[in-house]
Amino acid sequence: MTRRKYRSQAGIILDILEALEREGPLPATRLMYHANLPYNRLKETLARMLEEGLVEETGEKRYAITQRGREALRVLRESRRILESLGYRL
Amino acid sequence: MREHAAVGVGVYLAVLTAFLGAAASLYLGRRLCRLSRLVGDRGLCIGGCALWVYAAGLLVEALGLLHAAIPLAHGHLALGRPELVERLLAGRGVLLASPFYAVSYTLSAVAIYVSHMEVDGGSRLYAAVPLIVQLYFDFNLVLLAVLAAALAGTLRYGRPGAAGPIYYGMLILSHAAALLLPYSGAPELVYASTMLRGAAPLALLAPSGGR
Repeated sequence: MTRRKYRSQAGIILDILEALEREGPLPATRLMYHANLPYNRLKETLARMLEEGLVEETGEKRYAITQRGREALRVLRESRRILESLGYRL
Repeated sequence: MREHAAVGVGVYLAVLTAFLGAAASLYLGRRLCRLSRLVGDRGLCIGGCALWVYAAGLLVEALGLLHAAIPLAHGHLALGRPELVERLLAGRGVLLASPFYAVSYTLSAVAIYVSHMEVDGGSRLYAAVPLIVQLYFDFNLVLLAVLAAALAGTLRYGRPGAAGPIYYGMLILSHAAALLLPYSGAPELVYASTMLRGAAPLALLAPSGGR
């Protein structure tokens, strides 16, 4: 996977939510790989996602997708083409 | 008669397209704002507002067309004004709408800037570049249209031999050069464009033009 130099927050959130939905609860180190993000950026994004209720912390420092996260994932998938057309890099 | 009918069809099509575009922009703006609330990305909300402002621009443009161009399309030249003036007035909707478009494009560029984050040492400013180029392009295009109208008016009503056409001609060339910039990528065009704009008023001060 090639690393992109700048990405939209929506794109990063989409990658994280898709990984969590597909693989179940994951630790931050695994999410780094799935979201293709350095650790500091991933921590910032996860903190914001926890605040928004998109993910929740489970035991053993793992993160899981919430019901609100699933709803966000559905809307993000539906809006993917529009967002990319408007210049958001997903 | 046939010419008026053709203008009429053009006006109605333009108004219809503008209304459809405004409706689509309102819908897309609402969708972006909803997404913004869901994922907590402020940039998406700013992008949604940009689309709403764009819709407002389209509505103003459509209303301007309805108000000014339809009498022209039906061959009723109001108040006996010269036809050129009537035609210029018919385009005032576009001129009134252009500030909305400028605000919308600016908000879009800000939205993309806010919504992107640097990863691996990159700059998020680059993400907004396509929209900044579009804003720059459209800004120059609107100015070209305005200046072409001013040149036409000067040629028609101005004193023969005065410097007005040279002044407007230079301004038109300056914005045409600016328009070519994204295509050619030649940085000389930036300087040429600025120089033309800077030199244009000098034409008015020249002995034959400043009198």
